[in-house]
Amino acid sequence: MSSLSAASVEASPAAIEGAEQKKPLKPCCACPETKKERDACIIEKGEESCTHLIEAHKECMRALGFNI
Amino acid sequence: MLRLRVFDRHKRLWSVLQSTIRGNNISNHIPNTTCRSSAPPHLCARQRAFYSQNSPKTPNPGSSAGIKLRTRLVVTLLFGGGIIGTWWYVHQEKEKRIQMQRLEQLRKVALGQGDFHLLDHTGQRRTKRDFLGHWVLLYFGFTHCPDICPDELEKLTSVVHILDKDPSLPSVQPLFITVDPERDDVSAMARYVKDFHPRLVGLTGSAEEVKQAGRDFRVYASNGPKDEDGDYIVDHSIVIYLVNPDGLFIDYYNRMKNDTQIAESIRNHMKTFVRLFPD
Repeated sequence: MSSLSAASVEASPAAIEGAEQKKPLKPCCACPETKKERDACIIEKGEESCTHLIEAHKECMRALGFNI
Repeated sequence: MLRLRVFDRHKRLWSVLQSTIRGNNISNHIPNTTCRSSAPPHLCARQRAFYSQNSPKTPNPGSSAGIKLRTRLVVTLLFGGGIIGTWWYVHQEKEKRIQMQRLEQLRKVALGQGDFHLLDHTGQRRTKRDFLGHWVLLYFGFTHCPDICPDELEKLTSVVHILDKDPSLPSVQPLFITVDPERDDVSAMARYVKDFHPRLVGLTGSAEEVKQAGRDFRVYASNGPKDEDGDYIVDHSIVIYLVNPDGLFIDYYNRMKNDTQIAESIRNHMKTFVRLFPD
């Protein structure tokens, strides 16, 4: 319990520091709108039919400064 | 002459008497009749009875109002019932339409029919067949910090906890498959999954094995370019998949659904489930 708690405490500030140092927003949480549309399209039609939405999401992410 | 006078006098007397009798009749007709026909008390009683009979007749309009009130109540109840019935019917139809649309969507998708061959976070070989007979919740993600968003796995854990509280439901097996096998080896997966549900199984493997599993569920995963530190982002679709005991993909949930909504949807699937391949 104590070790788990300690690990949790240690991990938390590390993650926060890492996030602060590198980027203000985590990539998996960025551009939720374009991501949502892309994911729904890929699930239902397949990746081949959704290239325009994939590109739209990438453009959104790049606009936020992510290297993707 | 004397005889004539006597006759005349008698005639006068009779006339007067007759007139008197008539006057008495007119003035005292009612009391006379009542007194003679029956005793005064009886007559008085009859009169009272007659009057009391009049009394109930007086509220006749009230009685009509009562009838009208009852009619009004009946009409109101029928009308209200009609409204409620109509609303319920429309509501049911809407639910059915939504459900049919959803089933149509899923029929088109027809995912998850293949198999996977991966290592679990204890290093044991696992295939999809290992999980047949169980409901499975499956999420594709990756562990690498700090670019990790564990919200979905927390949500997945919460869903499993919600369903575990209902003893009438079968237990759900949560699975986490990495889309980043290059960095997520067995030990990394073992460290990662223990922060979530105790039943959560982490799965990894070779790049080809992982890619095959992801392809089967139409998972999108794209490694970004590496930076100076050799770090890279994995952009991937964020979807939780529901697989039924027959091993068939049956539903999926995106970020917009919360844990309560997902748990309710799964509960519904469990209740309507009919095994396609009985043992």
